[in-house]
Amino acid sequence: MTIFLRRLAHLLRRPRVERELADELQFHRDMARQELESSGMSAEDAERLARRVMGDVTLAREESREVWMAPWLEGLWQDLRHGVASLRRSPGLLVVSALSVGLGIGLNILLFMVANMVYGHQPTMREPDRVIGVEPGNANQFSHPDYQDLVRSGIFADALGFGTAGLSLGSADAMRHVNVAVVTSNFFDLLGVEMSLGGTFPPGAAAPAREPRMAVVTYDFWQARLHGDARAVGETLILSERPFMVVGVLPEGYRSVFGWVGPQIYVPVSSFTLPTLAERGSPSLSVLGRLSPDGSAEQAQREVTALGAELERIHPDRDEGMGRPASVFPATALQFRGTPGPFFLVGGLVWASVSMVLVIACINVTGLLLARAVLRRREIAIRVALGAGRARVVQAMLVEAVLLVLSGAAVGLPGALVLSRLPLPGALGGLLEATRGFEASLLAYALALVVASTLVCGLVPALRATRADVVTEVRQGGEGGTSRLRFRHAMVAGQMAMSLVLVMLALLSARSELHASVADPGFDIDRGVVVRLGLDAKQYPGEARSRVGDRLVEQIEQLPGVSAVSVAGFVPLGGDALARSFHPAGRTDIRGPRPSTYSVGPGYFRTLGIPLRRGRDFDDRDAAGAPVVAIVDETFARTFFPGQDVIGRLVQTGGEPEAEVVGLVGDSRVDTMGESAKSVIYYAFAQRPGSLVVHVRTLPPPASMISTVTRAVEHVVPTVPASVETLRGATSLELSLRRAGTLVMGVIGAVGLLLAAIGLYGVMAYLAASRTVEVGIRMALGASVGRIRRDVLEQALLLVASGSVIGSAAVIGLAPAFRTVLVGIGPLDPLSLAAAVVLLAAAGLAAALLPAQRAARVEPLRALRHT
Amino acid sequence: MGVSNQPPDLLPGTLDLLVLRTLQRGSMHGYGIAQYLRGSSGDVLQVGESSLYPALQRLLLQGWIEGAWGASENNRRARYYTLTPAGRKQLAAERRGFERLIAAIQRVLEA
Repeated sequence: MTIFLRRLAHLLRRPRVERELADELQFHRDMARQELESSGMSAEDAERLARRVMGDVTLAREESREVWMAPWLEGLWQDLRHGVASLRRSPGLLVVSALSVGLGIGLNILLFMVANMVYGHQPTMREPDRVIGVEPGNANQFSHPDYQDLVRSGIFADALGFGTAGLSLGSADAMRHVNVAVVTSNFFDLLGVEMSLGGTFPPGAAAPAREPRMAVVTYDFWQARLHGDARAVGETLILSERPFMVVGVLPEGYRSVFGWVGPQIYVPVSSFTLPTLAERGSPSLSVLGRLSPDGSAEQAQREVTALGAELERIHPDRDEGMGRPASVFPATALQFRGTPGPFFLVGGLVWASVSMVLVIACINVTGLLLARAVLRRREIAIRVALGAGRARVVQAMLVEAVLLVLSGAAVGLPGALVLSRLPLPGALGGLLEATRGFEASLLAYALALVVASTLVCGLVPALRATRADVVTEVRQGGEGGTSRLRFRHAMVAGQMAMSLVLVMLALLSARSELHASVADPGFDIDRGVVVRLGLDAKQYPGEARSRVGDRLVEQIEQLPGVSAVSVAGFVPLGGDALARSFHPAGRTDIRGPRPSTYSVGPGYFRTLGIPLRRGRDFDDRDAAGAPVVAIVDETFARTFFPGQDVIGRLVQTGGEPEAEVVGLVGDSRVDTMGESAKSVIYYAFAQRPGSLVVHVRTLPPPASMISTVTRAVEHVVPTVPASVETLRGATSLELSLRRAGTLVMGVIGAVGLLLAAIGLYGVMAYLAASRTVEVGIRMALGASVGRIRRDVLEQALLLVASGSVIGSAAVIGLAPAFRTVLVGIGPLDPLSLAAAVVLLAAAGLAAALLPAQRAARVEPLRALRHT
Repeated sequence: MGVSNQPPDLLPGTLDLLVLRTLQRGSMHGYGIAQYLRGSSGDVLQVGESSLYPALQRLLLQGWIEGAWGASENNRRARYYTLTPAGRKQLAAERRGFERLIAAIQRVLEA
């Protein structure tokens, strides 16, 4: 090993070492001459004799150098120097490769940064493999009393619960709505998270019964809102008009159990922060348990099920269904519990796409290296003939490929890092902003990309160029190369096929976005203004919220230009479903195809323009305490009561009370544009109050009504934080995500197409150049310039066509995978496919134009003279 | 590679041994080593540069000697070689091996 290090050190200091050796030899020579001179010889004779006696200086130097070289190291070094020198002589190859591979690697790195943040999110905790998530048989969360029974049961060494609450932060003049984590007091201790400042919640003082007013904040919050002041502990935050004392600051880089966008403030569970504290059976806390030293997840699952059965027996009305099998899952899987499949699908699609871009880029380099290998066939044959093993020649060519790929990485890696720090517009910028920048895993990924790319770029040309038959062929003086050309044609067709898939994906994405923005969601998206109110749950419990809603409706109804007003618990397409998929806490039960449930006030359907098919709308009769009623949509009626009249039926779902169906309304999209119509049960807001949203239908364009509505809201509830926007604005989260998606796919498609066109240009240019003689002969025999040009273009179009056929086949094969993310069009949308093929053909023709022109300019005589 | 580094009249590896032995007497530059070898062998061993310097590199690579620049007797810059502790050990080992070899050869010749 030390010998290896000495060799390496020698290699690195080589120029100096060589100079020193030369000095040493010169000194030796001088000394010898001096000695001879002092014995009486003439200067010239002494010089000559010294030379002869001392032997060959060059040989001495050569052999001294060789001592330091292990044969393989020497070979590698030689290849490296040779490679650098020969690439320096072909700047074209270097530039095309660096840009191609740089684009490919850069895109991959960017994606990796985003994916690492979103999918690689692992919550901070000690011994994560001993912590499991647990859900009762009847819901995804536990109620606080049930959670306490779970802790007391001793099934786990300890268990924590967490949820979220919407509170206002700050006092009247600078109030804003914040999502706050509501956690049991043992939360940070169980996870094993140490505070960077202050401490965790003290178990006794933070018990729910003591109504604790304490808070732990994230490092970012501390930096941004508390000025990073070390005296922040002990300061007071005003949350929904109550003082909370900051007791601790989380460490920098803490990763929350809520996913990659977590709350900034943590408060202990109390009747203030968790209004359902005392309500058994009301799911409000997600639960994680730390296994006892001898416990296992399977055992815990059985015991929680048994506990659930016991609780169901004691509280049959509250804990109904809790005896059904509980489910447990690793805490590390928490983030994606209940995440809809398309979320992963989109990630997979983008990953596959950028991989394809890199492969296309690598094939460009492969093509160039193949062409280069043809030019160097004689050199290679000579090297083999002189006894260089095939492995040795392959190594030399791979070293060249490594250099090319590294030049690409040198462009792509810094490029991606710079790009990720640039302020990009829209959702794209926000996503990149949250990435963690440069880290070890990124470098490892980049290294893996370089290795993979090198193999793709270099191995094929190296192996093909050193095949025994090629060597024999050269020895016999043949030109050969038809199989080589066929091979390059196949590669270019493959590139064309891949770029067709990429362009197709981009077009489908764009068309989907277009459809989504004009598709009929089943309600009037352009006639409404939406008011979201940040009422905090303690100050405004259910009934009070209803009353505030009623007062707001009364007030806004008076406004000129308003045709209908209604309260509701949600904004359709408002991103609640998307947000839910990121936050395990607070989501409704999403196991199985159960109907979705929403709360809406009287006049909601009229306000949103959703047609009432049969029965009646909610009205004043449906107040709290009155018989529970529901309105269902057509899909619900079709699914659960096919061919029957649904009016008058009794329905029940989840933990909801039994309700009589009084009305039937048309289907509308509630979660995403892309979904197929789903079963929905609407409850009366007064009987089932949720977070308060007021919908306003306006006669003039909604945007012009915002200030009027805002003033009315401020008049009724001056201290409540409220956001007022158009309905289209409130529903734009999905659209902006789709726009970002289209942008991403568009960039990927364009880059893929550009790289494939470069590949085609390369092979056409090579073809044109190697056929100079043939073209000369044909022209001499009377072929017209146009004819020659047409031939080259035809050849290019043939490649485009075969690529299109293969690509279309691939699209058909992949179609089922991306059907679910499309809106309004199928994955085989003929218009998109046609447009993709036309784009491909246009790019192909553009790439072939120059080579065709060059081929047509061949002068027959000169071409023939050169044979 | 593949070309012998030794003058034909020296057994393989002997030059390295002789250089190590020479340096046991103290630091010396390349020319000094050659001089010493010639002088102490009664002008029999005329070591050329093309043998001596590769041998020195070999010993450097193995870590048996170290080189450092210093001033020569006539005040020119020269590279002086010194035996390292590892070199000392190597010299002892090679010496024993060489003596055994010579004794064996002699026995064969006299048999």
